Amino acid sequence: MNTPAIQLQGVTKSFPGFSLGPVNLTVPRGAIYGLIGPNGSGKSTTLDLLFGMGLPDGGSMSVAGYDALRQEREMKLRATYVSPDTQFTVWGTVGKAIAFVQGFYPHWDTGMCERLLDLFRLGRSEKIALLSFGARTKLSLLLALCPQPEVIVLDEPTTGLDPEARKFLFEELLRFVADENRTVLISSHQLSDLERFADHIGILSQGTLICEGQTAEFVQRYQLVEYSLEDHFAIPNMPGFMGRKSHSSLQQAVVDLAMHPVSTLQARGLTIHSQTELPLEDIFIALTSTRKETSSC
Amino acid sequence: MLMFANFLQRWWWLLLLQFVVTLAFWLAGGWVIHLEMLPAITLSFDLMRGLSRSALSLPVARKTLARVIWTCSVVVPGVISLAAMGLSLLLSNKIAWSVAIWHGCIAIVFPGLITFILTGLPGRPSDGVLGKVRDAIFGALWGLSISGSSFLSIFLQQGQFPLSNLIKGVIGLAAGLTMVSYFTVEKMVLQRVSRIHVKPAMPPSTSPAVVESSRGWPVWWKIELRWHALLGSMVVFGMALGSVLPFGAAQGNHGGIYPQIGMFSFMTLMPIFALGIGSLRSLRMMPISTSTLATLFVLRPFMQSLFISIVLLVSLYIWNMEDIPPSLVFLVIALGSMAALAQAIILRNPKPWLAIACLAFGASFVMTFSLLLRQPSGFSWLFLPAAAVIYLLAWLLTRRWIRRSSKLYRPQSWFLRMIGGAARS
Repeated sequence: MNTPAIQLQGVTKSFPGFSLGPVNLTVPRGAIYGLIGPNGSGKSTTLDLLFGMGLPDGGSMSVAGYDALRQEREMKLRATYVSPDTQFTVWGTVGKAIAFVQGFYPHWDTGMCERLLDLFRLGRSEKIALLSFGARTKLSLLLALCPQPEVIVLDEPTTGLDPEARKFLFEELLRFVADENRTVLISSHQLSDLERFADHIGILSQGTLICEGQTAEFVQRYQLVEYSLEDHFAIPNMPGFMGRKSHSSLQQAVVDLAMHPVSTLQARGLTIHSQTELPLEDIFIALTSTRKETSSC
Repeated sequence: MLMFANFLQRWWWLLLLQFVVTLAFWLAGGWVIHLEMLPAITLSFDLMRGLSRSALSLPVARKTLARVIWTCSVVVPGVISLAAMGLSLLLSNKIAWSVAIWHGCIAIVFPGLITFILTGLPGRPSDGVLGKVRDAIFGALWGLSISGSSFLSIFLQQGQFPLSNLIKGVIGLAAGLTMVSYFTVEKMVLQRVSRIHVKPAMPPSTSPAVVESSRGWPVWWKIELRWHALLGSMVVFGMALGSVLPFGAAQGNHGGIYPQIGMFSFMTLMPIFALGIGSLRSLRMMPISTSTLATLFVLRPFMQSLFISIVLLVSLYIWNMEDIPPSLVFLVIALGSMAALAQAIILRNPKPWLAIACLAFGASFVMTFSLLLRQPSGFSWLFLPAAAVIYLLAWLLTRRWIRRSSKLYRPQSWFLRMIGGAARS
């Protein structure tokens, strides 16, 4: 049971104009892992590759202890996927889609299915083609949660969801991972949600996983530092020193404190005036914008 | 004017194709194919892909956009065909003027009729019996208009003069509907602007608690069979039509029905592509192996062709068409294999132009081979081993692309909209 829930080792995939990886990503069992990144950074491609939607050019992937390429059926029995690109329209009605999907999972939770239908205000006889985008996402969530998988992978699950449904989603995910063998990998642009619920964060930028770690450590590591410099000192552009701004005599930057501890900064001639923890969103912007110029982690 | 220029800029190759093919057929002097519906269908795809929304967010009036669409769908293809016909008459005089005039009439009213029907086709599934009946009528008209133009063309080539009142009536009706389409295009623009999803979720208390008795694959096969039955019934409808329409039957032969059945069969196979691609992503994330998925995809056109074959054999006896050999079913089965192969090609590259190219190729294939079937020889048996090889090839390619392609799982939104879905917003 010590094997990670999801493990990607050296996964690469190339398209014209875009290269993913090599991605090395480890999601421990029982975690809610938030994968974040700018648009086009390769998040959906990575998640799609896990579920056999394309073949990686190199590397290996395992989910729930099963090789995602060689044991895809066994893997998919234990892992489900919610993605906004998924269509269930072909099954016609909500009830038919549920009946079809249910047939493939031996541990389908009928009680949960009824509860979610009720909560999401979905009727079995409703035509999927006529559902709103948010209602379709709810149906996808239902179909992913009821098989009681070991791993749920969610790609932008909050898109189109109303605040109530969004709140419910995260509550349900927390309940889901209460069993320590269950794991959630979630890609989302709602960083405030991830900050509250995800215990691990990975940042993907331009096809590369630039940072990975526990959320709490992450927030501790990257802080807004306000400082002033003695006249004869200057700080060259360097990794881990991001988004520098000047306000009269004071300057500020988002600093990777693991790379540049306060004592090191002071030794360089900086007078530290304040250190402030930043919301995940600000850290994300600092890291990904710096990434365009230099490697930040 | 900018919208019009934009249309020409994007689809000049299609118009050129229409001109070249029409000219080639006229210079050959035999049966004439009418391709004037291509721009209308292409524009319909454009609307599915969100042309209305993006164009109307620009400083373009709704009426102006509608007029541009009508001009591009009706006037431009008509003019192009007339130009090709005129040029061919100057270069060679293989088609009589009396026939040419009627072909000219078809070239003008046919795209208008298609445009009118497109304006009536639903942008999303209708609710209620009336809505469903209306959808069915426009769906039938859609199938009829495509095959009807071929019927008329064959009839003109056979030189069935003077024209019967029915034919004159059909052409007159098409002319009238062409006029009507000028006004209904605006409705189509509006329909495609509105979002597909308009219905709020039903409160659970009002939802009937219908729980499906079957689970998994049986649910799938029930849905599949319903589709095959629907599409198969379109073929029966086409055959029934072919047997009662005055041209052909008046001569005591059903020669014109060969390409018609072929065309119907192929056309009914086309929606299967959209269905397949639309459902692939959801199937792929379930515990189903790649080989099973590939088999499922190849089985669809096979089952469809098998279904149509059975329907055909039964129909041959019902309508007493002794002059049509039962070997016609081999053509249908072979067509299924071609559709399976075309599907594999589209899976590799889910692009509208490729789907149109496959449709055009399939249509010409059908026409050619259905004519070969008229020859009383053992040739038709060759269709079966050829079809088996093509099915195997299609399975291997389908399996390969399902496994390898990433693009396939993010199909362009028009594929999804065709089946009432929507792309990621």
